[in-house]
Amino acid sequence: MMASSSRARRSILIVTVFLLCMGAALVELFLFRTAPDPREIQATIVQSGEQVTTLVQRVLHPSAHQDIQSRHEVLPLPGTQLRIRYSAALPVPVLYAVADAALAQGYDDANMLLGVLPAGQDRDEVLSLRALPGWQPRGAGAVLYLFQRDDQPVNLRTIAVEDRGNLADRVWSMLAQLRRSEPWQVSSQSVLRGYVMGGMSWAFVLGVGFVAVIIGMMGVRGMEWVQSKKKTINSPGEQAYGLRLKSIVRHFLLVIVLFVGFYQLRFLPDAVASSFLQVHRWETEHAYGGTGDVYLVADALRSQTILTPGIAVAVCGHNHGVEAKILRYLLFPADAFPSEQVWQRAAFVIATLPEWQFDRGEFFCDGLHRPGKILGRFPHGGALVRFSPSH
Amino acid sequence: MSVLLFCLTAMLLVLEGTLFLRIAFPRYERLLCLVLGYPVAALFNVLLFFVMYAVGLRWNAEAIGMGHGLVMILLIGFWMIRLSWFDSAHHDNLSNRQREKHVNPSPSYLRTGFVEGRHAFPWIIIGLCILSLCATFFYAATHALILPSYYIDTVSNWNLRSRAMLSAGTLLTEGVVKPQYPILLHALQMLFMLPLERWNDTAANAATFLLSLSSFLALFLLVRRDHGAFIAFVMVTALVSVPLVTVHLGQGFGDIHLIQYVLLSAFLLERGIRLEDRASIALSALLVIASAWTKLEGFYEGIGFWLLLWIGSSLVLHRTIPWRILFLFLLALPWPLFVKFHHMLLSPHGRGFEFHVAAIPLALLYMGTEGSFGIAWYVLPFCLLILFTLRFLRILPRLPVPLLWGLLALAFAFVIFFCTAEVQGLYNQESFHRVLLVPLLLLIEGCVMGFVEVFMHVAHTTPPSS
Repeated sequence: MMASSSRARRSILIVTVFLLCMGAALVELFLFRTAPDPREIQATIVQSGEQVTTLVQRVLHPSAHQDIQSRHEVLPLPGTQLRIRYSAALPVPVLYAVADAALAQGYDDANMLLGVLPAGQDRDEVLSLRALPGWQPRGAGAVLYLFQRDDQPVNLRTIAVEDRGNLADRVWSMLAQLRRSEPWQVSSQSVLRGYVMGGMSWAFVLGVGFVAVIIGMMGVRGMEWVQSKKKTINSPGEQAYGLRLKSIVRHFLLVIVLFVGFYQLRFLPDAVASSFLQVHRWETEHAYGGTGDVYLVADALRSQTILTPGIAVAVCGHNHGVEAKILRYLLFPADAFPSEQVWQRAAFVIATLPEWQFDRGEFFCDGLHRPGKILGRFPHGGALVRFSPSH
Repeated sequence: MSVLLFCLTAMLLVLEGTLFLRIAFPRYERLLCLVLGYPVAALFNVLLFFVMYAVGLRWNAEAIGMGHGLVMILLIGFWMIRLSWFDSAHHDNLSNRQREKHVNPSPSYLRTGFVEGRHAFPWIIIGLCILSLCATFFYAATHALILPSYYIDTVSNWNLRSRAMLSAGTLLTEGVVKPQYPILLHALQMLFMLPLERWNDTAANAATFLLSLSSFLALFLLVRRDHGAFIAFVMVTALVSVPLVTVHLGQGFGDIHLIQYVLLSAFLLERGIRLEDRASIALSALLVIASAWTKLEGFYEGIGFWLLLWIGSSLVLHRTIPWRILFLFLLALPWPLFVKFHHMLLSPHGRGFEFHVAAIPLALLYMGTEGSFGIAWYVLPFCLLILFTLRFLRILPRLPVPLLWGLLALAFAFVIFFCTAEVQGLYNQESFHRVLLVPLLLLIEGCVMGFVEVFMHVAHTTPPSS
């Protein structure tokens, strides 16, 4: 009893000292960070491809006959920032990422940052690589996409990877990656991406830590067992054996609880926070996920018309395949399709693209047009239109 | 009004299930019957819908209402007969109960030595479990009851199929996605819609959310009954804290319901085999049949492995096999017969057998680095190693059924993903993580039960060398 009590006290002491050391290290890292580069461009984490398209459209304002080009540069690491010297008549939307993630997983995987370089002659701007969710000091490389209108190309003079900041900056940046929320996906929740720390999966970091602790524990316990075996070789004692075995299993389970707890400590607050956010958005804007006005428009259509089988609704949006599927469910027994499939035979069109136009009784959306009447406009720029019967 | 009608429908189902359980399994406590009533009634409901379809009746409020009414009358009749029989055979029953006490040991016998003395540690763990469960079910409740249906599988398959069948008033084999999928969840959603007269998305998701809630609560009560509240908290928390399970509890997919039925069934099968309790085995069979009515995977991973483990364990342990239980599986047969009769495949995926070596490292990468499973796939191999070692040393008398079931299901999932065209579901990550939840959760359940067994037996164990 006395021995177990002193062992418990020793364990508590070790854990306390460990936690204090970790805390002190974090405080030190925080204090020794350097100020960010004043030329640094603010960037946000990409949540969906739609976010990129919307920003590019908003910044470059292309008309029907102007195409938007994207050019990309792959740059070697190590480095902490991209320094860009350029001239541009229009602001330049940029998208950048750690090369592997960008090439393998595309826009939807929130491993990319999105920013806008200001317009001007001989500009000298900086994009922080350390702000990337998956940045590592010795990562595979960085990829940078620049968007430009074909009639206003960007004159890119130089682009280079630079190393700036001290060790504290790097470590803090890697730790801060854990702050990034789970990229709650827009179309299907069949998979969770998880969290990242130091450019590595948090599950992997914790898993390897768990394996290391267990192997260490097995080593220590094994040595203890050999020693106790030497001492009590002639009188192993059934009760002592049972107690020792129980103690080993109990410690093993305790390590599991600790490591699973570490993961849950990150996941559950994130899940709860995302719930609050989604519910708040739903209650205030009646919008969910990346679908903008879809639910509002569906409610409006149901309240204005009796939907019967055979009624076709065209969906004109960024991601109208997904939107059409949601609307097919919401508007049942009517059917919803992407606009190009049913434009001529549709009775209604639901536009979720904010760039639709209505001119002299003619409704224009995404290069298609047909006469109709607007039944409603919605807060995110969507519209509900009843088409005039086709002749 | 909608809320009231929803509550009345739910109460009808709970009452139906509870009455059946009280009649068929009188040894189960009232609270357990009440909680388990809803998942069991969901099975009766789907059977009722199927019978209605088979005899050519439309699925409308009158027909389904009369069907449930008839079931209720029958159950009440049986209940009355049972009560009168109880009065007349009170004496016999008492002796039966005494015998059952022998078969069904008191909880104190089964409580483990994990929680000893008056340490604060178990209470800290219970506190953390409660915190974790609250957060998990908060997430699930907001997504199921407040937010609308959104996931593609929900709007293009699960809920849309229910809505289309409700509108048609019959079982549809055309014009819906994957018509060969069984209809337990659809029948459940439709039942709640019949009194509402129009489709209500929230009610549809609430109906399935209630199924999740009652299933996990029933599992909690079953574990608590045998091993105490501490183990029950730990097990249920360990199961629902797998991140993808938390997300799926927000409803929208059928997998979570398949998992719930399989988990309940595995626990009861283990109990039945361990204590030679036929009632537990029969209830386990009913629940695995419900899993087969939930998703097609329930036929293979559910009924197939159930039979294998039940017969295998009985043979290994030299027990007499109560073959009469096999008659229960006639309840699972109508759906595969229906599917074959309509020339549909008994699988939503294609045929063909081809080994995909490249998929193996990718699968391991996803299991170890993605967020769907947390660190479960790092922890489980060590748990299995310890349990197999203890079994080898004969400290663990035998491996728990859920553990073996989980291993079989894992091997099955790997064969599906590495050797068939379903490998696409691994490459695009659409189904791999979901499918792996069944073996993962069974393994977690099995490991918890395995460690409970270890703590029960370790004090009475002698060193292997002696």
